[in-house]
Amino acid sequence: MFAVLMAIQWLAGIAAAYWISPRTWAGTASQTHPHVWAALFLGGAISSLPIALALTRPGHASTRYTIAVAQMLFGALLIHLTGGRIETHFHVFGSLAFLSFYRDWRVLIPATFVVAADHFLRGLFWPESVYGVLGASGWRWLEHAGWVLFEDTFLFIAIKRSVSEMWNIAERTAETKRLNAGLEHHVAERTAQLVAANQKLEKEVAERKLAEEQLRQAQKMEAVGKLAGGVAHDFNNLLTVINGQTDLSLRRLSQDDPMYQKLEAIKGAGDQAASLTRQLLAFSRKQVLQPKVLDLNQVIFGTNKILQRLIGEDIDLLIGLGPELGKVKADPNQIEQVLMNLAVNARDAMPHGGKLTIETDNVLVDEEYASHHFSVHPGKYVVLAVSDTGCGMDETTQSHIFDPFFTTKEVGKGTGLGLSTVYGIVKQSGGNIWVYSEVGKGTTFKIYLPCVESHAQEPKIRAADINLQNGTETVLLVEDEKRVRDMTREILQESGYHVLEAEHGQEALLIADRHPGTIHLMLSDVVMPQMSGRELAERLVPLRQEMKVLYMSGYTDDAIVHHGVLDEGMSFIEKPFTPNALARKVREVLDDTLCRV
Amino acid sequence: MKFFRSAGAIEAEPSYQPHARRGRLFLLLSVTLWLLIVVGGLSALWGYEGTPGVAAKPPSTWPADSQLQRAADGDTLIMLVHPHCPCSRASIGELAAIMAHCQGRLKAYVLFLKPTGFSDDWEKTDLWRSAASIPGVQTFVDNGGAEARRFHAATSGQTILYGADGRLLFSGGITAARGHSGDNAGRNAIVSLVNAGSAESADTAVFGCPLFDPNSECRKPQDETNNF
Repeated sequence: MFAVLMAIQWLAGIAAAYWISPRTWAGTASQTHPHVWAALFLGGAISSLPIALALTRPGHASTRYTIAVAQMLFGALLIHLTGGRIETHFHVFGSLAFLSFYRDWRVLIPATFVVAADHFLRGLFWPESVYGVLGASGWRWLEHAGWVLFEDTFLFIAIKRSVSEMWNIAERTAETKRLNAGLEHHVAERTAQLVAANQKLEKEVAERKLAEEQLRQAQKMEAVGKLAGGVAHDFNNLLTVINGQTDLSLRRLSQDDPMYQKLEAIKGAGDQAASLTRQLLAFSRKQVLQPKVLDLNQVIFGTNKILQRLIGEDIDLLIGLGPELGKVKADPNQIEQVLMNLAVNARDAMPHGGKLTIETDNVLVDEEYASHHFSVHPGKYVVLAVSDTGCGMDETTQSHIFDPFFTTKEVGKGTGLGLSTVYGIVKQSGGNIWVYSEVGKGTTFKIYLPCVESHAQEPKIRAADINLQNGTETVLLVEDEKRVRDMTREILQESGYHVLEAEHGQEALLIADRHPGTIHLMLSDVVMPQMSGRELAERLVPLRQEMKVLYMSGYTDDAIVHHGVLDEGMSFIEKPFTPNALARKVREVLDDTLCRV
Repeated sequence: MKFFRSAGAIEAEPSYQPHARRGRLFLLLSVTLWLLIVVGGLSALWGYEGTPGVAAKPPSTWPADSQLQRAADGDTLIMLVHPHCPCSRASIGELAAIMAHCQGRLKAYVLFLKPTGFSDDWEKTDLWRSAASIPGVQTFVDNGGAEARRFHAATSGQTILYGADGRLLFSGGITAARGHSGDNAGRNAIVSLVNAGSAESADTAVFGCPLFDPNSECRKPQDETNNF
């Protein structure tokens, strides 16, 4: 700013000189007036250094002081150029005010000094040029300097106040900026908190949606389970009769008999119907499990031949059994069912052959993993992985594969119950199942079953391996369904047993009370009107402690099972059963010394 | 929170490194040279301002051949002016002050030189108008500088005062320097002579442009003895 003002002042000086005294005359001759040259060159000289310093060293004290000196010297020049007009003397006072824009009172010192020195020196050497008289007092310069100091005083006060106000404004501005910065920081912090809260909320919403979806799925399963359980009881009774009577009839017919083939067809259909019912109960987790402490490796090892036959020769079966595998508690028959269902699924996914890999391993699920997966608890698990190199599944298919009756297979090839059965068995066994699949690459099912510390129980000899053994013991048969009761009695009698027959619990109690001999076994239905099989056993066993109990049912409520798991030491045969299965089971229970109610 | 001004952040030179010292030395030399040039220039200007022109030595009594009418009942002032002399603007201004101080006791003529061969309005400058506007002052054209020669004037602004009796009372300039307004010895002397009849000095230096060409004979003051 001062550089520009100095330049303007210089130009104004030239203009004033040219206007006031353009030329000097000597008679008829004239030439440019020395004042014009003085304004041009001396004014330029005065202005040059302050302009240069203002441009090259702005803000330096030396620049300000130089400008102050130059400004007062320019005042002296202007006074001369205007012929010492009193009005031009106001340039001195104007210049002091002009310099006060620096808000540096020290700038006034050199300016005042220049004015005072000018008057002092001229008063000393050329008093007439400044005072108009030859014999002015030697102290008269003080009068002039005094007026300058008079203005300096006010300018000093004004500068101090201005600086004070400037600092106050600067402080307020800085404080405002600091507050704004703090506010911005606070806003950013709150925004981050809101974002985090929003993310947490979204996560919770997602989890809630997942939980709701799972709850909906569970409710759906529960509804299907109730439906299945509701029909299973009656349906299995019917199947028991159909299959049992068919079986008995087949026994009595020669294979050459024209009726034999027809009965075989009936039995096949009955078996399929029984299988369907079992699966319905399985996926709805209403089936009765008889869990044992298992070594999964042994189960897999024992089923690999069946599996190989199941998947055919086009598919390589690779089995990788993890060393020192932990033990799990599960129903071995159901685990076999799981393996077979998954193997069948894999086979259908690889119509042109491929690889089916079954692996086991120990895994440790930590807290963090468990916290991110619904219904997963931290701890040791045994993982059973079944992988294929088949066609894979897209995400939509994956989200429905455990739904009952969902199938991608063509009509007639799949019931849609295979994977839902697997899911039900795994969940009923306290485990979890995950599926990983990529279209065109294959699918892996991973089943996590919790480890138990117990030793594996030796697998019992398969029922099929037991030689049919008849007996002569007395069996109290309790069954409210007459056709089932008749057929069961017939099977038992054919096996040599003496049968006491009761339609319900009260009658059974009466018969037991009246029967003088030993009753070796009570074969009772579980679900009966008035008195359940469990209640009957609890009342009767204390009276006949030698009597063993075998329950039979197509569907059980919580009378003898808890969450689908049969109480420890309890004997059970699932309806519908075949005559042979019943005979073997009865024999097995009679021979078992640990059987309990 | 209290803010404070950090010491030296604005006032102090930023660095004391060697190159900064060289810069400071250069600055010092520059300022010194600048001051020498400026002071020298101003001194030269002051010298020009303070250099008087050729002083007149007017006749000791009112010249009889003058075309001007001398006041019979008071003092008569004659100022000879080059109409284009910028320095004489201050003299006209001082004349106005004199006339104001003398309150009608003074008859004043301002004669504007008009060399032969110049246009009719050559002398009608702002000086003419300024002089003509002063109460009690009469302006005349001095064709060819005849009156100037009669009064032996050679410098614009030359002021001459004659008494009522025709005696020369004062001769000189009424500015302290070339074209410089303000208090001056000449003005004080005239005012004193008119109002009080006496003054400390009767002649002062005259500051203004030469009335005549440098080689003119008129530039040389008449070697005539003043009798006042």
